[in-house]
Amino acid sequence: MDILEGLLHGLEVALSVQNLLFVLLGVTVGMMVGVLPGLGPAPTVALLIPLTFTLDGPTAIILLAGVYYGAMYGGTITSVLLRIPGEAASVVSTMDGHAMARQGQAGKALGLAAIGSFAGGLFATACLILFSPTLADFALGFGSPEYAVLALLGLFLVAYTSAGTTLKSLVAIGIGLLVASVGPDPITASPRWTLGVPDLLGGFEIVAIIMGVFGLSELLVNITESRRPTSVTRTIGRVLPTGRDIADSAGAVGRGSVIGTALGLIPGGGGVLASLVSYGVERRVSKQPEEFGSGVPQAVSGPETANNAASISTFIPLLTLGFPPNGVLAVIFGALLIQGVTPGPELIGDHPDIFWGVVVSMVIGNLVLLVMNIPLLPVFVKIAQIPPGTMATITVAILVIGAYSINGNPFDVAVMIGAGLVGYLLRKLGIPPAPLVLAFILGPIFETNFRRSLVVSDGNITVFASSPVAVALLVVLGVVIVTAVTGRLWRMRSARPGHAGEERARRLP
Amino acid sequence: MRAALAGSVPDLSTTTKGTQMRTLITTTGVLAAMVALVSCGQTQNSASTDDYPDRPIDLIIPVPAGSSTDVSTRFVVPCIEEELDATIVVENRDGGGGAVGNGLFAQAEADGYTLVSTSVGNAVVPPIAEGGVGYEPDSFLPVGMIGQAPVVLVVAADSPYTSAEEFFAGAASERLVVGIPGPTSVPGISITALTSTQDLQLEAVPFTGNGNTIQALLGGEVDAAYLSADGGVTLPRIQSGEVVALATAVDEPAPSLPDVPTLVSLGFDGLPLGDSFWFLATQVDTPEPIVTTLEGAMETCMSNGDIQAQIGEGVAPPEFIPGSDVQEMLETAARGYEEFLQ
Repeated sequence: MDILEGLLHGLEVALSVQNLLFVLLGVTVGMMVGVLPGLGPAPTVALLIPLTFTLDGPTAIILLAGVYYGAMYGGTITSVLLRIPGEAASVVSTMDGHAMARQGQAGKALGLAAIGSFAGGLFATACLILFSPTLADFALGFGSPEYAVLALLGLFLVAYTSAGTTLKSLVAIGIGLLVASVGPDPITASPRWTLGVPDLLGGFEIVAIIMGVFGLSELLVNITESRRPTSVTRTIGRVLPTGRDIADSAGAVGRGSVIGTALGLIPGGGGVLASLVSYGVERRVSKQPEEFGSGVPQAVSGPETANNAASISTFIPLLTLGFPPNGVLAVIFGALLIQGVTPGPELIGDHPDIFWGVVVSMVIGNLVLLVMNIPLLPVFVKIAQIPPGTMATITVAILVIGAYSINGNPFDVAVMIGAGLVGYLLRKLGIPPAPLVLAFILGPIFETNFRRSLVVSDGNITVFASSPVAVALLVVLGVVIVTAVTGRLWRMRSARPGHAGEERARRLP
Repeated sequence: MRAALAGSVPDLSTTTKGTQMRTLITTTGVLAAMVALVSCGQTQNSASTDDYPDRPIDLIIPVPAGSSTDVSTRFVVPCIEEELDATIVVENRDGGGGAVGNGLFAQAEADGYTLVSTSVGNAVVPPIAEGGVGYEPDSFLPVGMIGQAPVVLVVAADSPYTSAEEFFAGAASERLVVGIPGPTSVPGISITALTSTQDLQLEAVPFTGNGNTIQALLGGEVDAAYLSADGGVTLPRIQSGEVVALATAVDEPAPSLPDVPTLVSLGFDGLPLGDSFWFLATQVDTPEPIVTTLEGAMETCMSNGDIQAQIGEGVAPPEFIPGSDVQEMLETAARGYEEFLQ
């Protein structure tokens, strides 16, 4: 199926009444969770998984993807108006975005962010369309050694790029790997760590783990430390930016699109990293860097473009390699498994409905968000003020019923609650929980392929350098490790205490 | 009761049979807790076998939705519903290589209201390999075969081996790597038997499922693949010529691969049954009239040409295979596997 044929097929899927309804539902829910402080996209997508059990594959993923990029739009609103990041990736907009709001330019900030997000979303979707099929074809040639090295590289990148310190990410990764080792040995099928419990013979249910670690733990954190807006701006002002405003921000939007799309591809990347890097870049290229923080439009339009672009390009590694680069995509990985679809290089060819349908729905969804954003602002501001307790009650019910309905097994409810408590504890210790879930997925991919390679090669370790791709991946792995270690040393020497990162880690997926 | 509750929930999906069914499953799953509470007060009166079935029947599938056992079972279900004039609620209860779903089935009351559609591997392997899973290979009373997939040895089209004789001659002198779809899959057990009884340098490497195994073969990672000739992955690739079938591990030439020699005909004796098959079963203590009713419905449905075509030519048995025959195959398989699983 070539690209044009694929797009036509995607249009057919995405324009069905059902899928149009669900993209609308997805982006609306996404906007709302983006607006609601505390409830980020990962827990929301985890909460919505049970709803997708009854849906077709394409519809399920269209809905969940819509929530993710919808949240990127919504998060800006709370950041700008209330100076609370509605979700993690909009955290930088609390600086210049809110400063603009206090100068009566809230509308301009939001308008620029929405237009930037739309442009970034389109750019990332175009990349998704152009590169995914080629990348998947390329990945089809990957054997066990390549996958083993790739998974290892993924684990290191997650450790290196996640919120919080590398050491803390490593702790989360270690826990994830341990939890993943419960169940049958991938080569011999002998049970490991099952303690004679039949429910553990197949290992922990991935969706229950995800719902607990993202959903329940987030909720517990919200209840125990609810935040109130400290600075509310009600004047929104003119929303549609002038031609001049747009021209001023064009560079920032262009750079944000590229930065966001690129950083979405990296394990551990996605919205937060993308918006932070974009903010840094804008500050560097600006002629007046000292004004950053006092309401510079580019400091809003760039990062907001980048986080939306990243939220879409994160689908590339999932749909071509079967690797979820961040927490939200880990949840979507689980949703695909429930649909009977194993994410990997075969996905585009075997399930064109899902790939092309979702891609086209992203264009539609971004358009809906752009249009919806502006007239509905007053409604979203109201939503941002819903007390966390009300949300919590509904959320707990959904989590328990959802965990039960994965397999109709009460054991999964216990797993979900256990995972939630562990996640809560980790957040309290400033350890980001997303690496735990990513390690839970990447660990078994690494172990299975590593051991498989060694069986095939009869124990010869050079099998991991037996193809050009494997060698290239090993080199990248080496570079990442060296950078991480030397970067660490450098940081220790300049010893600057930074609690901001830990605070972020606690709040963020 | 359950049906009424399920029916009252709005169906968000399109109204195709598959999605309706899935809606029903999940809804039932979600509501099961409630139903359990509600039905606490009522004692189940021992069902009179004459008016069987007078309430919905649960059908457990111990593997995930979308697998070949699941898909082919769902092709038969609407027909059985019609034959029995009853609602069948299909529930996928996967986990533990079939142990979770089959365990639930075995512990349910033997009244014909909890059935199972399981493969021989899922029925036989967990109780022997793990034990303590709540059922034994003889907990199943089959009422009819749904599908069969013989285990087949395949090589890539460009392989130096063009026949089974050449392949086994090669394996006698050098180490050949064979991909299998899982360590405790039927092909996995069969190849353990082959390597432990014959003087061959075959190294079995487990992959995950048939698709993954074939991919490893086409990618040149393994010299051959040993897997079930299912209608979804393996048979189409044999038909397209991407892979070449060298031998099957069944006693008689398989209906789907009539021209491929069997391992028996090549002189490999004493191997366990290399046939992956899946069937509908009830509990061993189920009253005779109910078993007869179920088997009658299965015979009608499995003889239906449309259903056979949906399941796949060569996969669905061309002639109905009754429960007693399936039971015999199940017993043979259990005896054969026992030796190589421990």
